[in-house]
Amino acid sequence: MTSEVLQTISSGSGFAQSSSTLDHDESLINPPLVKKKRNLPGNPDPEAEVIALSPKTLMATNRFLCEICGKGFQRDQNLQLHRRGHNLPWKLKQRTSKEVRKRVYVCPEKTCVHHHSSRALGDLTGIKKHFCRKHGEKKWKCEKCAKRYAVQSDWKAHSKTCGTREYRCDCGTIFSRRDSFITHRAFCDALAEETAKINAVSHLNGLAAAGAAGSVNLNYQYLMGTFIPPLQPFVPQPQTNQNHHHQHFQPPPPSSLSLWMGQDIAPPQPQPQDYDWVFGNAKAASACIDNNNTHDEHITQNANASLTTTTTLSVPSLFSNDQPQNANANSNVNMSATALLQKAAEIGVTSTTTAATNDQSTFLQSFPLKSSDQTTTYDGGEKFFALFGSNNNIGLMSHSHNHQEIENPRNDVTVESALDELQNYPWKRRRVDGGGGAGGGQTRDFLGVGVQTLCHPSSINGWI
Amino acid sequence: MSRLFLPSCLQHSLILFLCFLQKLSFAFIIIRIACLPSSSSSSVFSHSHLQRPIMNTTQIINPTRPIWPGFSSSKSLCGDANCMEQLLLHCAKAIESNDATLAQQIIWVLNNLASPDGDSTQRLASSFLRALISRAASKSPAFAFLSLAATASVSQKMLHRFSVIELAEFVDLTPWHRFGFIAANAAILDAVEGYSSVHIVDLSLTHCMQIPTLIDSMANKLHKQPPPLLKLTVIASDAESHPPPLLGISYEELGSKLVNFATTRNIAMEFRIISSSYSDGLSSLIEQLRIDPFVFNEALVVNCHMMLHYIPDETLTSNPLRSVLLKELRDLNPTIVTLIDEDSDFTSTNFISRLRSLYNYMWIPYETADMFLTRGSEHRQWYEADISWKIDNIVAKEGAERVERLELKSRWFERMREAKFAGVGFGERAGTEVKTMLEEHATGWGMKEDVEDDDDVERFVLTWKGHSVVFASAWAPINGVAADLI
Repeated sequence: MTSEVLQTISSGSGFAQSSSTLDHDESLINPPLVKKKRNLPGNPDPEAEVIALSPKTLMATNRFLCEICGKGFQRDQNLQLHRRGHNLPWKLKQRTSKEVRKRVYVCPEKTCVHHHSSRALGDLTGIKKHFCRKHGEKKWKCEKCAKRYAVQSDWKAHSKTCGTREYRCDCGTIFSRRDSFITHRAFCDALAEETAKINAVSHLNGLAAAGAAGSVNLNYQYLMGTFIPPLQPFVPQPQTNQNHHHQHFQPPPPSSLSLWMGQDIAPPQPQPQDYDWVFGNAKAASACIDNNNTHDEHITQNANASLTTTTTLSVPSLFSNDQPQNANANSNVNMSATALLQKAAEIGVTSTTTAATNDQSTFLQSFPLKSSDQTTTYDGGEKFFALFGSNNNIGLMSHSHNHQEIENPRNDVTVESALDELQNYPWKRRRVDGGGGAGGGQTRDFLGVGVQTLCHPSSINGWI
Repeated sequence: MSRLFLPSCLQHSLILFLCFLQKLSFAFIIIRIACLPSSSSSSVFSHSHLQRPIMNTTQIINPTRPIWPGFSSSKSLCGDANCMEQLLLHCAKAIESNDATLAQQIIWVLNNLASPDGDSTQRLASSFLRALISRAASKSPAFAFLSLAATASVSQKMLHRFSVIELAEFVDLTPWHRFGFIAANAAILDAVEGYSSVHIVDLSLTHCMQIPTLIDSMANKLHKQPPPLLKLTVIASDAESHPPPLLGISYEELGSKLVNFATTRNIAMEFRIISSSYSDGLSSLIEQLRIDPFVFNEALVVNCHMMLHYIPDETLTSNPLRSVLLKELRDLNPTIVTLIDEDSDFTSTNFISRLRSLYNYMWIPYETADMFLTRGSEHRQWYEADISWKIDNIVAKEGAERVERLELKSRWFERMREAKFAGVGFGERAGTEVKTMLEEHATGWGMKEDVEDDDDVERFVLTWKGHSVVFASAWAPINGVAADLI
C-alpha cells in the first residue's frame, strides 16, 4: 500500500514541472489536450508557451539599467533608446523572424490557482497585477473607506469613484450603488413608516371633499351590482385611483362588463382601459374586495388596505407637483354612501362649474398618462366607448334603483341626490346632447383637447 | 488497488510523510486514522466523536494531536487546489468502491489539510469532505464508523433565514445575482415597451430581489407613456426543500412590501402567489397561467433566475420535464423569457465526474468570499453555509433529493430552441451597465459576451478570473404573435 502511495505520477491535469525559484526560467510544457475552445480567458491555448517567472522578476519595475546615469527602464527597448542620448552604441532588437508563439504566464506563488499551466494567464501585465493583488502587500489605502489595494492603478481608480455618489436611506444606511439602494429601499421599514404618515395627512385632507369622485365611485359600484363601501384608510390619489381601477378591473373583466351592459352582452374585450377611462374615478374604491376567488389569491393593494391600515398609500409629498385638488376631489375616505351623497349634493349645488372644472382637472389628472396613451392608439375604440358610455349612463339611469346618481364630469353634470335622479334625467340628457364639445360630441371631445393638455407625467414620476 | 496520485512538486514532502507511515506498523496507522485529530476547534470531527473507539481493533492513543512533528502547517504539505482536488477524488473513488480502509486514510489526510477557517482552498475542501463523509455514511455499512462525523453535515435547519433587508444586502455582496438582475431587467424593459399591462412570472432563487430595480426602471424609463400595470406572480414551493437562501418572512408580506414600493413609484401592482412545485415541472403554475383570463395588450414575462435547474432532468426521470415546461411556456406566447443560471454541469450520473466538475466550479464562490467577506463575519458564514448546502446536495444526496442538477448553458439553449424560442440579444446599454457594476466589485470579476454559432445572438456570461460563472440569456417565441394583434 505505502509503496504504491509513494509513486507519483503526473496525472492528466498538466502540472508545471519547472521550479519557480529559478530566475526567468522558461519551460516548455505540453498542457493536456483538453477539448476546450481556444483563447478564451481561463482556457489557454494548449500550444502556448508557458512561462514561469520568479516573484522578483515579476515585481521588478526597472530591470534594465543605464550604466552611465543609472536610470532604470522596464523594457530593453526603452533603455536602448535612452543610451542614444549618451552617445553610447545602441541596438534595437528585431522581432524574431520565426512565428511568435503565444505566451502564457503562471503565477509563482505555489498555492495560487494560477500556478498551474492549465490556469495560466495570457498577459504579462496581467500576471504582474495578479501577483501584486493576490499575493502582494496591500500598500495603497483609500482615505475615505477601508479598502486597501496592492496595485497603485487600482487604488487610483477606486479613489476617483469612492464617495462621489452616495445614496442614503431614511433608516440611515448608506449605499454606494443605486441598485443596492433601490432594493433596500423597497423593503425598508422606513418606507412603510413614511407612507403611513403621508396616508394619515391626506386622510384629513380627503375628508373635506368627497365630491364628485365619491359619487362617481358609488355610481360605479351600483353599476357593478354590488354595493361596496369605500375602504377605510384608503386615500385615493390620482395615481392610486389609477391603480385601483386597474386592479379592480383585471380580475373579473367578463363579469364586470357583463353587469355593465345588462349581463347578456359579451364584453368588448379589447378595450379595458377605455372602460376605465370612461368611468373616471368610478372604480377607484369600488369592488376592491376580490370577487373572483376561483383560482388563486389576488393580493391587491386594496385588499391590503382593508387588512392593514398602513400599506395603502398616497404620497403627495413625494411628488413635486401640486396635487391638493386631486386629493380633495378624489378622496373617498371612511364615509358611508349616503353621507358622501349628501356631501356631493351640497358641493354640486353650490359650485357647479368649479366642481366640474375641478373634476375635470382631477379626472384628467388622475389618468393623465393613460388617456394620452389612449388618444394616440385607440381612437376608434374610444369613440365607441364614449358613445356607449354616455348612452349607457342614461340607459342605466332609467333602471336605477334610487341609489346613486350618475355624474359625468365632462358634461358638467352636477351631482345630485338619488331621489332627484329621475327628475333630472331629462335634464341631464339635454345636457349630454347639448354639451357640445364636452358630451354632445360624445366622441372626440370626450377624449378631447383637455386631456392632453393636462398631462403631467413628469410630476408623477417625481421621486428621485 | 488505487494509487494516490500526487503532483511531483510535492513529492518530496509527501515522501517524508509517508516514510513515517511506513515505519510504523499497519495497526498503528489504523489507530492514527481512527483518531482523526482535529486541526482546529471547528473542524469536521469534534472531540466527542474521538472519545469513542471507531474501529473494533484499535484503541485511541492520542486523540488530539498528530504525532508527526513536521505537521504544523497543512499548507506546506498539500495546500494547493489541485492537490486537494486529487485527494478528494481519490477519497470519492474509495467510497464508491467501498474501500473503507483507503477512504479512512484519505479522510484523515484531508481532515488535517482542510479547515473551515483556512484559506479558500481549505474551506472548499472542508465542505467537500463533510459532504463525502455524509455520502459514505449513508451509502454502506462499511462506513458506519463515519456516521458520527456525518451528523455534522449541513442540514436545512442550519441555514439562516434572511429578513428582507438582510437578503437585499446579501444579493449584492457579489455580482453573482446582480449580474443576472441587470441583464434580465434590461431585456424585460425593452421587450415590454408599449404594453399597458405587464405580467411577470418570477421564478427566482432570490425571492423577488430583482423586482425593486425593475419597478424603478419602469417608473423612470416610461416618461411619455403611463407606466403599465404590473402583475407579479411568484411560486410558493414546499418550504422544507427550498434551496438557500431561505426567506424569513412570508411571501404575502414580501408581496405587500413590493406593492407598496411600486405605488410610491406610481406603478399599479398586483401580487399573486401560486402554489407549485419544481419537482413536477411547475405543472400547477402552467395550469394557472393557462386559465388566466386574457388581457388585451398585456406582456407576459417569465423570469427564470437560477431556479429552472431544480426541475428534474432526464437523469432523474424519463419524463423530459424541463423541455415540457419550456414548450408549455412557449404555448402561452410570452413576450420574453429570461433564463439566467449557473454555468456548469452537475448532471452526470458518474459520481466521480460529477465531483470533479463540482470542484472545478465551487472553488469560485469560496475564492470570491475571500475577496469581500472577512473571516468570521456572519455574512461569510451564511454565504458559505449556503454553498455547503449545495455541495452536500450534489455529493451526498441521490435520487429526488438531489435537486441541484445544473446543466451547461449549451444544453439549456438547445432546449429553448427545441421549444421554439429564439434568442434575443441584450443590447449595448445592458452590457455597459453590467460592466460598470462589475467595476465596483473585486477585480477578478468580468463579463464576456458569448456568441453561439447557432444563432448569432450575444449572451452575457459572468466570469471570475476568466472562468464562467453565470450565464444570462433572453428568449422570445419564434414567430410569436404579438398580443395586440390578436
